[in-house]
This record gives sequence, C-alpha cells and structure tokens, in this order.
Amino acid sequence: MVLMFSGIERPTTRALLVMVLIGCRSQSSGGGPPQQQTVGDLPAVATGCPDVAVGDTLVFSDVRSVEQTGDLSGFQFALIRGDTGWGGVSREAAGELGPPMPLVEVTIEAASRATAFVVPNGPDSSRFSGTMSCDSLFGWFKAYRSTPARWSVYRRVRS
Amino acid sequence: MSRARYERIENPRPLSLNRGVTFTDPFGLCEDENGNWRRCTVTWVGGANADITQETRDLAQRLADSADVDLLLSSGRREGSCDDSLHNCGMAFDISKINGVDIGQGWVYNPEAHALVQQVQNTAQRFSEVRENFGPSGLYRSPSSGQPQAWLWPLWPDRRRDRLFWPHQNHIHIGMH
Repeated sequence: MVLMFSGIERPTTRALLVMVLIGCRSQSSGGGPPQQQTVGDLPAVATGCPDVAVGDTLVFSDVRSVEQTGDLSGFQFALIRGDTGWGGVSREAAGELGPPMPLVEVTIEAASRATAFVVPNGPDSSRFSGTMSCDSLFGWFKAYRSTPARWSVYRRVRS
Repeated sequence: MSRARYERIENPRPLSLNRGVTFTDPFGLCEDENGNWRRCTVTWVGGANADITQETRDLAQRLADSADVDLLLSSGRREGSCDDSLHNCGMAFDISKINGVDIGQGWVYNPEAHALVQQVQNTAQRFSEVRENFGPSGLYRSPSSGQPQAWLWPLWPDRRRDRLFWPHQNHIHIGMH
C-alpha cells in the first residue's frame, strides 16, 4: 500500500516540478506564443503573484470618494509591457476619473521590481519612483518641482 | 461707446492677473496667448457630463467672468441620488484648471495655482446661490439660500474636516442651493 502510494506520488511531484519549470522558463525567456511576446513576459510581476497572467494589464489606484460631495480624487495607473518595453496610462480623478493620458519613461526592473515613470503635465511633470508588489504600487510621488515628494500607496485594482 | 471700450482694452495693465493684481474688471475679460482681451471661457474636460442645469451653467460663467479667469471643468452631472451629491442633480461642477494652470495633481496642491485658487474661491463666496465651495483655499458652506458661506474649519472636528479637505487639493467643488 505504501509502495503503491509512493509509486503514484513520485511522477506527480515530478510532473508538477516540470510544469513549474516550463512555466518559469516560458515567462522569463519571453518565447512562446505571439501574445506573450507582444504584451510582455512580466517576470518581475508574475513572480509570487499567482493571479497575474501573461498579457494582463496591471491597474493601481489611490482614488477615493468624498462622502459629502461624491467627488473622486487621486490617480489611477495602468502599466502594460509592449514590444519595446514598458508603457502605461494615467487617469487623474478631479471630481471624476478623467481621460487616460500616456505615461512616459516607464521603467520596471525585473529583479527588484523597482518602478518609475513620469506623468506628463506641461512644463512641470510629476514623477513616481517606488516598488511594485502583487497587491500595490508604493513609493514617492513628486507632483511638482517645488513640492516635496509624497509617500503614496496605490492599491491594485483587479478586474 | 465702442471707442471707450477699445481704449480700455488697449491698456491691459490694470487688468493683468499675471502681475498679481486683484482688480476685477466689469467685463469678465481674459487675456489670450497673444495678449489680446476676450471673454473668459468655461470649458469641459473630454468625457465629463456637461448636462448640468442652466442655472449651474450660468453660475460657472459668472464665476469665470467675476474672477476674470478661464475655467476648465472636470466633472458635472453624475449618476445617483440628489441626496448623495449635488452633482447628481446637475447642480454642481468641479474646476480642475484655472487659466490653464492645474490646481493640483492627485492629492498634492499646486503652489503655482495658489493666487488663482484663492481668487476663484473668494469670488464664489460672494455668490449667495453657492452652497458648497470646497477647495485648497478652504471649505465653505452656506446653510441655506441667501445665507453667507461659513468657513467649516473651526466648526468641524479634525477627522471630518480632513476627509473633505484633502480630496479637494486638485479641484474646487462648487455646488448650488
């Protein structure tokens, strides 16, 4: 009975290990189906984030509603990996969510998950510099040259 | 008549907001990028529902004219019950830019907009039909039509005040009675 059980368990474990390795390799190498190459391998994001699949757009937000007026305030960021690197869009809520505006200089380091981008805003662009986790994007948001950077946490919005 | 107006327009010095002068002209004139005077404008951010009541629309234009500024509105009518927000009745609007200068980014107030924000909120305080005047310069509310707007800071406990104050760092909310 014990031998029988061991006999069944061994291939199952091996199979699981092979599946994980194949999954990691296909994600980190960027090879495979065209959609993986187009949208990005998301190695840094996918590591330890079981609900993040290749091709997902990651949305983070600190938008909150005001009780008395119903106004929304804050930012929503969507990060996407394209052919030439990372890109994204921001939507500012100033009463309600505004139209999407492209982010520039988006960089995400695979190993450290260090994340940075610029929100273009005329001559005085806002900058974010921080770290991405499975559930949030957190770091310093410097809105204007003349204002101090503000510690900000953007929770992940799951669709 | 037209000559008198022409002469006034030709001398922009007393009307220039860029020099920090708070003088209000009787025409509601703003300066374009070429230095010419024109009517102050109220425009909307794309996607915002501009279907507010005519009275609210008139109020936005009068506010722009009286403060001598161009206003960009980022929110107007929204879905929901009137009990929850004046926006839901088309009786409120949010201002995100004044003369093209953004009031703030997210939760951060733009110091460059300080004088303009003060100018708009101070002007709005003079309108008896304004019920809610919330922005980075302060939180003001009128209890009933015709009553002056009271400054909420000394009246409200900190936590309640903060919940209203910090989300209004990137826009001014104006609601009507």
